[in-house]
Formats: sequence, structure tokens, C-alpha cells
Amino acid sequence: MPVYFDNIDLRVNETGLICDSISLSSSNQVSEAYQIGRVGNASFSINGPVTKELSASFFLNPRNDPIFEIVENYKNNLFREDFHGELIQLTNLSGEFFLDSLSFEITPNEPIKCSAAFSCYGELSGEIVDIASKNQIDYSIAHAWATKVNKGTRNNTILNLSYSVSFDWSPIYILGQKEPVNIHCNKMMEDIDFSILEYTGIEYSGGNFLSELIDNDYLEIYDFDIYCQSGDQHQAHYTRRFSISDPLIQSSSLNCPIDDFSITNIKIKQFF
Amino acid sequence: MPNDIVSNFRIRRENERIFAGTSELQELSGVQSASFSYSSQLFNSKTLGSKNNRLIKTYSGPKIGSASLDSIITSEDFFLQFTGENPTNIFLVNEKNSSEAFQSFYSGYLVSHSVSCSINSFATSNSTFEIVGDIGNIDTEDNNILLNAINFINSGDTSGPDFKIPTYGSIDVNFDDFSSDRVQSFDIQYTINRNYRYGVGESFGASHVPFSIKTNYPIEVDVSISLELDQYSGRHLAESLCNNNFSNSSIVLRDCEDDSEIARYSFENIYFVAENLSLDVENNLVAELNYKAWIFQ
Repeated sequence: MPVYFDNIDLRVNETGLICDSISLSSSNQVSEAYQIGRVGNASFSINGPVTKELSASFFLNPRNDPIFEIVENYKNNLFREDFHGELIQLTNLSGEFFLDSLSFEITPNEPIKCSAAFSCYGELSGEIVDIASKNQIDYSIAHAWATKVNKGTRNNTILNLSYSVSFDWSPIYILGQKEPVNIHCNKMMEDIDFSILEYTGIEYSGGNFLSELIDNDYLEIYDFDIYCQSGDQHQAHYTRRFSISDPLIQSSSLNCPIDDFSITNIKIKQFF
Repeated sequence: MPNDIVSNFRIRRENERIFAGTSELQELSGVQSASFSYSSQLFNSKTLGSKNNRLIKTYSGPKIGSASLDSIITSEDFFLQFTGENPTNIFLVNEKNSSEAFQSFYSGYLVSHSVSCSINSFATSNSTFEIVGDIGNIDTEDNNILLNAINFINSGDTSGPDFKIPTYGSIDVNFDDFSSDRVQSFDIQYTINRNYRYGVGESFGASHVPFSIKTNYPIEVDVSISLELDQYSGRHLAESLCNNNFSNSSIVLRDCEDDSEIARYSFENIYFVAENLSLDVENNLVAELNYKAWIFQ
């Protein structure tokens, strides 16, 4: 049954996302099998399980965003043995997915959009059906206007900032079973990429330069509402906070465009 | 009785006064028309799984207003001074002795300014602004910039500014490229590119203004002169790349009565870039010559 876009819901752990694109793909890991003494393909070889990947682009909802909850949960329980995936429902199709990556970019004067990617190592159940949307999204849209970078005593202007976190999963298979018996997280990695006006290079190998740039650093994204003259409506009731002070510098590059400031782009990385 | 009804509901030009400047605003003369506009960058985004009543409403893009003023050049070409880094603030009242702004803007940056004149018309200008501050019916109590305009209005002086006017008969066009040819019209166009920079977290809880505003020099100037040919012999395309640079060219506007200088547009180096020759059975042969110059900081 064809399904029109207004009935495509994506829910993560029963909470709806404000998506503008969703992609669900599954692929067989098939390779050819040739045989000496025989013309043509003898057979196909299945080199692994069916891979199922889901990616979504969505507006960041600081009031109620399920994927940031997942990141926090993973961070706090990174090396436990019994990871379970997250329940993802696409209309009536559902399965247990593991978060591969989450990223967002903050550009001045623009709403904040995220993208996330998941992998499923098991079976999906149900089907895509044309039913009325079940999402009851208590939504607000995060916006650069309602974003605060706590720069401590430093006063570096941040022109834009992107954040991404990725997870490396290791599913454990055993002979005679199609689905993994266990899934471990090998590592978690955070990348933060931002641009500032003051040049800061890497002074020494492995240098943690951020204390030179920004101190007591964290990024806050507030629930967005229209700011009116009296009263600050960017209340901290719905806030996402990200630390951006611990990681090590990966690269620093100075760009000097025509008709603009010289801009230093800094990439920092943190492993867990 | 009908007259009372009509007058109560009209804002007529004789009651409108426009003040402009950077720090000390002065009353403008010769303004023929003005437009002030702004719009919020609200957009609705359709999302998957959304019905019409659940469109995502948010804002995209900086808050920038715009304003445009058409003027007859009287006494001076007032807005030419704002091609540089200084912002323009404008204050419009709709009652002659009222100091409450009906419409105003602050932190407006001139992005284009043109001056033109032709036979049988006044010299006119058009100025366009991008406004990164605020625009609209702004509370004047909060704005010190507008204070001296308010004080001026409160002084009760409604005599208006000096009024000198150039006409097509009191304009000198001095170009090395031609001499005795009959200039029919000219048009000077200044284009000023501005760079507004916004930061993440810089405008939290504020009015979302840029932290930096730069002018991208040089300012490009396009000059177009239309003349009935006399001694000007014309060029050809192959030659147009050579000997195309003229120095000390100028257009000077003078008062039609006492010949005093009102505005001078001087170009140390100006480059010939295009020629358009037109002839028809009812008119003399006319050449439109286009030049380009750059103003550096």
C-alpha cells in the first residue's frame, strides 16, 4: 500500500522525531563464487548477515529528544556486556536498532538540524502501513538564537559549531545462529568542529589546547521560543548541555578568504 | 464636516519630516518617496508524519530590514557620505511638531546609491539600505541616537533645511573622453558590499544583531553617460581594451541660481567599458558610454 509522507512516523523508544527525511536500507552481503574448471558463476556466497541501516534527518527538539537520551545512556554504560538496542518504529515496522552516529550543526540564525544513523542486527517485524500518524510530539525547535556557549573568561567568538558522536559496535555471532548473541561497544568517539576568529595552532604533540581558547566550556541549547522585549523566554527547563572542554585537538586550520575575516577551523576529538 | 473626517485619517506629506544621520541626525530635504520594510524569516517546514496543523514553524536567516529613499538632490547629496563604515539612522515623524517617531530605523547600511539626471528633469538620487539594527515603530525613549532629532523637533523649528537645487543647466560633466558633445543624461551607481558576521551564542537573549559589520572594498561605481555626438569619434571593440583609462573625471552639480557647488563626483581613474550607439529617424544619433571606477578605503 502506498504511504503518503504525512503518515510516515518515526518513533525512537516510543518518542516521535521531527524528521524531514528517513532512509531505511537492507542489503545482503553477497559475493560471487567461481570454480576452477568451470565456466561462469558456480554459485553465490553469503558473506554475512543481512545489514539493515536506518538514517534520519530531523530538527533538534531540546524538550523531548530521544536520541540524546540514548547517547547519555550509552556514555554512562559504555562497556557493559549486555547492550540492548533501541526500539525504532517506522509506522508499523519495528526493530531493535543500535545508534551508529548522531550529529548536528549550529549555524547562526538557523534552526538546528540533526542526523542520526542506526544499524539493526536482528529481524524487523511488522510493515509500513498507511495509518494516521501516532506521533504526539511535544515539540520545540532548537535554534542558534537560543544557544549559548559558555566561554568562561575567554571571549572567542564562535562562528559555527558542529558536533558528532559515533559508536563502533561489535556483534558476536556463533555458528548455527543468524543473529548475534551479543553486541559490544568497542569505542565511542566525539568530534567537535568549530570556527573562531583568533588563530590558535597546535603547540605540541597531543596538546590539549582548549584551555587556551575557552575555559569551563560547555554548550547549551535551549528550548526555542520567540524572544520578546520583556523577559527571557529561553528558560532552562529544556536544555541540552554538551561539554566541549575535554577533548584533544585534532587539527587547526587557518583559512583566509576574500572579503571576510581569517577564520581558524578547529577539530577536536575525544575517545571513550 | 467631510473635510474633518478626511483630514483625521490621512498622513499627508506636509506633516511628515525625515531626519537622518549617524550620531547627529539632520532633517532631509528633497525626499520624494521612501519605503521601509521588514519581514521575519518565519518558515513552515513540512515533516514526515505531519498533518497540516502540525507544520514546524521556525526561523531561518538573519533579521535584516530594508529601506529605500528617492530624492531630488537639494543642497547636498546627503547619503553619499554613508558609503563607508558609518551606519545610517532614520527617523520619520508624521506630525510636524511631534517628537514621536512614526517610523524609524537604526544601524542601516547603505548598499546602493545612484544619482542621475537628464535633460528636462531634476538630479535625483536613490539610496537603498540594509538594516541590521531595528526598524519600524521603535520606542524613541530607548534610543539615544534619535535624541537630537527629537530635541530639534521640540525646539519648534519647522523652517526646513537650506534649499538649493541643481537643474540640468547647472551640471558640469568633465570627462577627458569627450568635450563638446552634448550630454543628454548621466547615471552614477555606487554598489557597496557589506559583510555581516553572526556568532553562535552571541545573540542569546538579545536582538540577534551581527557582532561585526565590514565593508568590502573597493566600492564599485558604474557611470553611464548619454550624449549626442559632436566630436566624439567612437571606439571599436578591439580598441576598447587599450587607452580606456581616464583620470580626473568629474560630474559637478551646481545651484541653478548662484552656481555654488552642491555635489561633486570625482574619479581619479575611471575605465571605459562599453558603448551603445543608437540612431533612429526621429532622433539624433546618441551614444551611451559606460565607465567603471573603484573607490578604495
